[in-house]
Amino acid sequence: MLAGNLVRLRAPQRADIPMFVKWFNDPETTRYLLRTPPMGMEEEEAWYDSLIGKDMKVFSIETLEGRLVGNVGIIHVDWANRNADIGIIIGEKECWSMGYGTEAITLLLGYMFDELNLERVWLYCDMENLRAQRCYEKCGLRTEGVFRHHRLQAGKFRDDAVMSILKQEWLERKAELSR
Amino acid sequence: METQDVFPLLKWFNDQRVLEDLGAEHISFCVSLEEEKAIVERMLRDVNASWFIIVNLEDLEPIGLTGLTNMDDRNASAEIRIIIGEVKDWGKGLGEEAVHLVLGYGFDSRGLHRIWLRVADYNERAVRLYRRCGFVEEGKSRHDHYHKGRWQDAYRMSILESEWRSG
Repeated sequence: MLAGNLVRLRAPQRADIPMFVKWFNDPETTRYLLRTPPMGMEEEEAWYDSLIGKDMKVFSIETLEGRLVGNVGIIHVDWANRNADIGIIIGEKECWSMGYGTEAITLLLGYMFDELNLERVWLYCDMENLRAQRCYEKCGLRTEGVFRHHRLQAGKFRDDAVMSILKQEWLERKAELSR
Repeated sequence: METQDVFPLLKWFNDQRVLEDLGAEHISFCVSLEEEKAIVERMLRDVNASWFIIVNLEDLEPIGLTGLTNMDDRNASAEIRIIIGEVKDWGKGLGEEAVHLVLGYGFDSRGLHRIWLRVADYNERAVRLYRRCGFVEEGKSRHDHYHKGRWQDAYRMSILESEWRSG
């Protein structure tokens, strides 16, 4: 468990799946998601089972009161090059803009840099998803380029920003946070 | 150990206080019940390992995990591992007794000549415990694992059958 001041990251459990399915079937929640919804129970369960023994590491995000609000995870670790990409969803819409995502990512970055000793953590973010971009920037990530027409969604090719944070930048940000 | 012991294991390996000093051993950090089951099944299938659940004699409550791994029949050696997962049972000498029981099992029932272990050098409580049990430091694995933002060292310790008999 990785605990912060607002949320904690814990292991996912099978009982979380109905909530995941709810989130992945809400057009507003999934609007900028890189995965392709909708997802049914069986598909979500198959995904959950496929996590066993994989590098992909998913955490459920819950408030300190124990309310499940989203999930966050490491999608793939490239150990030889010490980099990894991450993804996040805050599925409970009333919980948007409360700093949960920012803290969840910060907790995950701490684990990835201070325990897994990675050099670079990166993600894709839909260019029109400004709220997410602001959140990632608050976490210390910066946009390093744009993949044009990178993804087809709802009949339109969409542009994705590639955002990343390097270990040195994490260390500087951590020092700032502890001041 | 049996597959049903996955439930306490899941609890212990999700407890930050338990993981803190485990060094490179905390592979099952924050895993789901299903993943922990897969890990336990793999441990039980390993013919070069014997795992035991440590049970409190007062109430038969499982409090930890120990065992011998990396059993090398030809050279009569094995690695000992131990974790007391119930934090409330720390400091009662239960780990020390469990180590003694495993050493007895290894030397008396498995015909071992040498039992060795790895321990993070910052886990001073464990290092002291192993010394009390008769283990001797034989070297340091420099930069053994990465933890808390830096490379950490780990001791290698061992005890020979003759030392166990005379101790």
